[in-house]
Amino acid sequence: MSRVTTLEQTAPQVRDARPLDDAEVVAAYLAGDLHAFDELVARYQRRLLNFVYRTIGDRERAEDLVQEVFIRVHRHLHRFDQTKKFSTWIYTIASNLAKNELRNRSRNPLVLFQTIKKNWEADHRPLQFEDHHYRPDDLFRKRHLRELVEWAVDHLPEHHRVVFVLRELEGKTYEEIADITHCNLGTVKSRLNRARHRFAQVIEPWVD
Amino acid sequence: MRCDEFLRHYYDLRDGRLDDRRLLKQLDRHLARCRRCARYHASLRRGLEVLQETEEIDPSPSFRIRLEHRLRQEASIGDPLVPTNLGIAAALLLAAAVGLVFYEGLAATPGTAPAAVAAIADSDARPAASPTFAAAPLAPRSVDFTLPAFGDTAVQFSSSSSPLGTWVSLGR
Repeated sequence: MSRVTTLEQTAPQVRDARPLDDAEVVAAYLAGDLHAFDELVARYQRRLLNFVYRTIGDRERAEDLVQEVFIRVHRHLHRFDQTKKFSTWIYTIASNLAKNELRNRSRNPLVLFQTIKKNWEADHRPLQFEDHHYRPDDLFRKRHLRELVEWAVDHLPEHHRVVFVLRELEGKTYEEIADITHCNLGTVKSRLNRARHRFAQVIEPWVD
Repeated sequence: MRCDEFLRHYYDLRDGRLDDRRLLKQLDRHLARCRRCARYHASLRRGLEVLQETEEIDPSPSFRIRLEHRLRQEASIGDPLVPTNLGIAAALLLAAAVGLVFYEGLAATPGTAPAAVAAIADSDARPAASPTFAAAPLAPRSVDFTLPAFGDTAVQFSSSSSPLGTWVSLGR
């Protein structure tokens, strides 16, 4: 039997006074409530779109990838371990797709080498204050702090950016980020701190 | 406390992951006295505030329509992980083909040769009185059967073998 839902239809039929949590919506869908999938889409489409957009920096492509996330969720939901957190699972799918996208873009060997070198250096250099006289040229053209902030996020190394966005914009815990990115807690912490440090250094000269 | 020590613990402090009261006090004291670290702390806080205030983007109006279309396509293709009737039929057919080939292999081994093959062996042993011995052994043996129908799919299986080889043909 087809499990396709009509997305215009309304959310799960069985409702009590409080809204269902994700686990209950997933269970409802697996029990045959076809509208439950629509509820999952409604809950996550915007969050995932912003997460992927922040990670890859291309809005149109981000939409395509989020569509792919939902297709994969639809295809594999029956295999989802319901003892785990659904949001972590769906963010893992989104994160993997975003990383694949970035990897495909950097297939150029020269770009790839530069990225690896930059990331390695960023990971192994001790944290220290940077010389404030150094500012990338294009930063001089940016007048507004908002643009500067967005520039700073866009220019974080890929694996730093993912953890930074998950923590600072999505509000995920260290443990959730570790699950999503398949890294241990120490790596998450290290990447997050380096991302914040780099972010702060870009912002600092422009904050009164 | 030096600035590099402060930086080493700063993010744990910020995330509320420090419970060493003495260390917390030292970090607070450093932050209050060191203009450089205080500026760093203020910059990060302000930058993150601005970032979190940045307007989020919304899915385009066609997002759900496209998703629904793709889900329908997905459903029409079927779930690749769930075996279809045709898939089951194909698996059974393959098993039958492998079994038959195995049987043919056994039949060709000495001591288990079927009558036609034994006839060839006998005729080889005798002086060739006549070249007509090949007529009977070369006649192909055939096996034909039809698998039970799976849904609207019935699969016919046909195998022919001769000393020149084994042919297997399938039909729906």
